[in-house]
Amino acid sequence: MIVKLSEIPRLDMHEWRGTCRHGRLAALTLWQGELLAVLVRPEGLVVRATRVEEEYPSLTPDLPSAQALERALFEEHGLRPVGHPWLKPLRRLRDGGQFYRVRGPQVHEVAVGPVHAGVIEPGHFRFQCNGEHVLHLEIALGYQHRGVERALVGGPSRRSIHYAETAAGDSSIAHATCYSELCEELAGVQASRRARAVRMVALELERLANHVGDLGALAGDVAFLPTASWCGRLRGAYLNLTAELCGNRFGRGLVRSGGVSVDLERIPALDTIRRDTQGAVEVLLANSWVRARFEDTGRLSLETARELGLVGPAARACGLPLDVRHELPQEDLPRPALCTAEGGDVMARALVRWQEVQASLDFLQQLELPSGELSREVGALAPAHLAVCLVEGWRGAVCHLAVTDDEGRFGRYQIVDPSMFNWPGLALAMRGQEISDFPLCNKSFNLSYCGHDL
Amino acid sequence: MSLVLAALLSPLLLGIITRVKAWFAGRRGAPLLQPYHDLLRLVQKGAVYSHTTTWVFKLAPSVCLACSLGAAALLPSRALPTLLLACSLLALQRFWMVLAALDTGSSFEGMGASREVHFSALAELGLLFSLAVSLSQQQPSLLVGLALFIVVLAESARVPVDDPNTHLELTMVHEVMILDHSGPDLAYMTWAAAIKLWVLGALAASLLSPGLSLLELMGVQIGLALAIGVVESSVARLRLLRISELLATASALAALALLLQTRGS
Repeated sequence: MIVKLSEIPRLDMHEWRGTCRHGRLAALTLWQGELLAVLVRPEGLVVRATRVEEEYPSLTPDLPSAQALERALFEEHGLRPVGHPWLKPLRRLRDGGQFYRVRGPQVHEVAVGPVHAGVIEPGHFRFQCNGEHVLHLEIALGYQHRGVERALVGGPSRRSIHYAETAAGDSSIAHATCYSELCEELAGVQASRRARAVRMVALELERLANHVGDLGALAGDVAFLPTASWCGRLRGAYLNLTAELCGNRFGRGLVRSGGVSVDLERIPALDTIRRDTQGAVEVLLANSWVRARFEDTGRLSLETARELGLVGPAARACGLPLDVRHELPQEDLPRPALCTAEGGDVMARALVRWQEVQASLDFLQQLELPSGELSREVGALAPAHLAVCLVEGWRGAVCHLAVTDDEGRFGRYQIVDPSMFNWPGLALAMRGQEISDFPLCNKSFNLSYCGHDL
Repeated sequence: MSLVLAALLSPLLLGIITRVKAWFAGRRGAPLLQPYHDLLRLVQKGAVYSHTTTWVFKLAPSVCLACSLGAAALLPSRALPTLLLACSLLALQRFWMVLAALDTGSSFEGMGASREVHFSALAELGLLFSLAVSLSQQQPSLLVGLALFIVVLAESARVPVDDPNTHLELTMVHEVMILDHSGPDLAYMTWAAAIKLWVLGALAASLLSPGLSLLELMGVQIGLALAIGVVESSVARLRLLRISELLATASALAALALLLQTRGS
């Protein structure tokens, strides 16, 4: 979606706050004294602006999904949301951070991380526990803050696409597609149908590799070895399909502004890998010991999911039919089916992943690649415009927003990874659970640290 | 002789379990002798101690190993005092392991210690009932065999009670208690745990089928390792608070056997 800066509807603060409640908040940014909210509504993306000085009444009390976005703005630009219930730094931790504490004779605190036992990213988890029961979990991130958004300002440059591809390494295709579509919109071109179809193939392969890997990791967390081993191998097989397509297992170098760098001659044969995946996952989901662990663990209600603005499989597992591929569809291309589940527990999140694996495989096996050129020339970007692009990555809606200055350079670039909305979901899913189930719940969300920290 | 066998062959049991699990998962798996290499490697390393630990932490590995070896020397046996002494040595070993875990002052190890004590208290009941049944009857009982198998799984920290392979501190029971041990201390702890598995196997064997020769005992131990490998490959781990139910089941099975026996005689 692209709009000229001067044509964005300006509202007074009261009206603006009201309008933010209609639709799903996707991004919030500050540009030249104006606060810009991007909302996903049934009719499409809308942007609404309001003038602010140094502070404004916080959205969070009425709209909890805004909490991280407001904290980020406060941290980056000093814009204070008055009335924000927990206005602590989002990414720049000071003095080890502040945490809520529960006091009582039986209550104890467990601190996990930022250095973890496995080879994973750094993040700090602070549990308030009564015995094995978790009363409250607070998650402190920011250990990987590396200034991606700031580095993109002044672009696009030759480096920009690489920043996008590495914003969250396991979602390279999603972020690179988002960045490229944004540039294309700002330059007034559209990639050919073929190029967009190749991007979709790569995006679905990325989804397949990660979903299958996650199902295996979920099995590993409950010590169910067969599926853990098989899915570990199959994840590699899916990554190798991406490597066969473009030479890199994570799809780096494939998606570029204007199109794709490599053509796909035909969709690879998926019958064998599909049969193997089906075998591995069905053994897992049919095992009653596994079901006993997955069911009723880490339950999130539909209401909570909606309030927190959850996206992706985590939201769909609560019954929310949110999927950018269907909310903002590319009309001239087919798309995989929308998959939802009920219950919002680990089982539901596993089921949604499995359904999506099947839907992606169906999509890939039925897709006929349209014809068209590989890449189109992307010229100079339109000055003084705002563009927003959303792509449904495997973890949920990846959102990129750019505001160009008068010379057509990025004056502001914001990346909203799905993890931004979903981390609080994990914290709430842990309430009243056993602390020993945390790794399982964590894996069922499998959120990105670097995508959040940027 | 049984002491030497237990000391030398117990790591092999771990190797067998790992191999069976690998076979089920379609992998080639680690060499059977890998546990020996690991122990050798650890013994050659230096140890690191946190500032909060005291002499308790440093003494615990030796005590744990000594207790395991002591219990191994006593088995197989049919004499009640000997069996009770062996069980008590295992309890003493656990006591010192828990002490060392608490000595670190870490919240993880404290959680592990609390879980270990909770589960072992429940497992002991099943073990005592099984002792009572087996010593007063000659034929092996299926109920007692099942109860003992559950107790062995729990006491040796295997799936579905614990997961020896996990790296996730929050879910661990036994492993989290030895997180702070390193080098030779860790080797002692690991070796002691391996011997404990052997001791539990020998204990179960002496209760279920008395008068085994040492060669037969070795066969039983290998069979037990195979069975553990099969169980670990086919079930998932239980939810932590459900483990109590499993252990209560073991106690109930053994108690039922005792009841049937008293009615029969």
